[in-house]
Amino acid sequence: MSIIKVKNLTKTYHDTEVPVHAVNGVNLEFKKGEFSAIVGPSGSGKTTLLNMIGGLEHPSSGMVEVNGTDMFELSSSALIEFRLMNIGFVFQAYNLIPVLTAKENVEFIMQLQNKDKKQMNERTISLLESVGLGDRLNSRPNQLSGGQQQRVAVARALASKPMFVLADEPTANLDSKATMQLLEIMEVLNREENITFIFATHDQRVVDKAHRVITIDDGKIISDESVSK
Amino acid sequence: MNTILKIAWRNIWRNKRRTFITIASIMFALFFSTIMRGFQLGSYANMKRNAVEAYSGYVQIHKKGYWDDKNINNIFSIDEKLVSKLENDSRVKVIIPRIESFALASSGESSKGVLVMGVSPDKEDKMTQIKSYLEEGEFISENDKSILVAQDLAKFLKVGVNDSLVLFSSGYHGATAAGLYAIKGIVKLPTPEMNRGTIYLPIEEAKSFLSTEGKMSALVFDLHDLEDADGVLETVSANIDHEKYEVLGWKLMNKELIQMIESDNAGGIVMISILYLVIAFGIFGTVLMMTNERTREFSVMVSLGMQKTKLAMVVLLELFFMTLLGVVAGIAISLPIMIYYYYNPIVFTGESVEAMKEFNFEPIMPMSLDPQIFLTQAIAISIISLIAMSYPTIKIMTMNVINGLRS
Ligand SMILES: Nc1ncnc2c1ncn2[C@@H]1O[C@H](COP(=O)(O)OP(=O)(O)O)[C@@H](O)[C@H]1O
Ligand SMILES: [Mg+2]
Repeated sequence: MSIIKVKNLTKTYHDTEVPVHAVNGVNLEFKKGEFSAIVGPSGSGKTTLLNMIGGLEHPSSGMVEVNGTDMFELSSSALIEFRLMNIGFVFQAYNLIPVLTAKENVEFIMQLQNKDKKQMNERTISLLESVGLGDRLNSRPNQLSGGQQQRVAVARALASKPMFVLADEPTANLDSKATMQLLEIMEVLNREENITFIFATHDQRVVDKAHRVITIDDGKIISDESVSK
Repeated sequence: MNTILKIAWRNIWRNKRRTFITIASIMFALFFSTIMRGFQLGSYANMKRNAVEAYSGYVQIHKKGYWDDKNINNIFSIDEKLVSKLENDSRVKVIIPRIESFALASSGESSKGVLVMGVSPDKEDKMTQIKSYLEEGEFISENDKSILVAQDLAKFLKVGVNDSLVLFSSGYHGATAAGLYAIKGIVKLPTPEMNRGTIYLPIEEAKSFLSTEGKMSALVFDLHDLEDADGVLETVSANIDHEKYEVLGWKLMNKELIQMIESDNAGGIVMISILYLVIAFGIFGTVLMMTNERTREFSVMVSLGMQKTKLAMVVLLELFFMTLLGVVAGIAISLPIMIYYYYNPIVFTGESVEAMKEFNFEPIMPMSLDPQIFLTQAIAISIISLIAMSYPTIKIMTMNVINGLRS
């Protein structure tokens, strides 16, 4: 059963001289537990597509249904609440709240969800341990490397027990070692806890790990292949 | 809520220098404005008290028309029962009878026009504390036939204790008034004008000197509390015959002083407003930077699922903390200074003293500790902060997360 249904999605920017069709008639479905990569050259529309799937940006036409909810029918504060409860985000960089420690950054999401304190504490520690940062609980973002920061961001994205995690170029600012570490962690989380990940990337190392590769160019899907591992 | 407080508190220390400058500017604004207002309000209260206690009292009863025409023929008598009834009012400290008249005082060598005040010495002392102004000699008593002379007047007439003065005046209904009086004491009166030309005479002697047939020119009310002045004025008003008498409150009797205070006060408020305008620009600058340098961070937080109202709350708390710290620090440095000057008012010396006396000011500058001073300044700063808060609030409520994420 699909948890995400993207129907005839388009996004056209009119703020330039010639209208830009950043996403142009995309139809897609994602199932629980998928580990997919949306790939394509810079400017092909990956970020725009991902932002719409995440309910961050309104489409020009078409719809995105998450677990039966048409997100863009929601009021803006209901949409924020919907994201909080259902979607995890990992951005390219500067993901974390600078004044909070690694632990507080992860807890932040659960606090917004009004989770019970004890439960929150346990879950935070186990999440940070699972991304290999059990010993950096009280470090502030500026005391962590880029790779460590991205791993905290992954832990945070999972804190809310989301239906799926969207990651836009999560490895763009990382060296090979950090990239491999991050990918392995996400792979394990996907395999062992059935977490659904959707990446936007043009990093071949990420593409190599993906179980499904969706190629986009000029806002259109040009191929959608499952890779057996 | 806890997290919001924590984020806000830590955020203000991200740019320590900017935060210190902002807090310091609020602190200094508060420091200067409270000290300045403290001196102003202290001086005003002192001037009012001087004017009221040294002369006018809070309420006076006269024969109708006396205040506009202070003529010895405009004197009156009043039902003693009414006076004792009013004196029994708990708000009233004392009711003082007076006879006032102008006279020519002559020491043989020189002479000068003076105000002769026929007073009931002990009652008068209760209000004006005239006994404490005694510089030389002794205080007069009810049945004396001797006088007290103001210090500068005595100097002018070149007389001292035990010398005599001749007083000439015109009495009630045109009777001639002339008398030779021994000087029993010299008093240094608080307002320079009075100190230059006042003579006190026991009221019974004044009545016979001016042939008033037992009448007086004023009944002066001293109260325990300035706050009661309007209420007592009303009570007195309700009890007398307005065909025969007039009742005046202290504000009416000290019109010029009130006007002077009002215009000086307005000047002070203008100065403080200018100061606050400068501070306001500083605060706005801080808020502008604080908001605009964090658009990406704000976008991430809202993307993750933080409601915009909560985010706005964080920024408002940041501004609130800074304002509070500034206000508390400002009061913390001004309060000890104000307490010091409250107990040790500035006494002017040197050339300025003469100029102040010329304008009838007592050459001291007392401090007021009226809590309203602090409250008003704190409210003014809070209003500036509230206005400043509107910027991040609007910015956050209308922001588009995509723009922030793509920046
Ligand atoms: N706010 C915008 N206004 C105008 N054009 C935009 C805007 N955002 C993105 N685009 C354009 O849309 C296209 C797709 O961009 P994007 O989704 O960021 O691609 P990718 O993530 O694959 O690099 C690009 O041509 C980009 O310039
Ligand atoms: Mg992109």
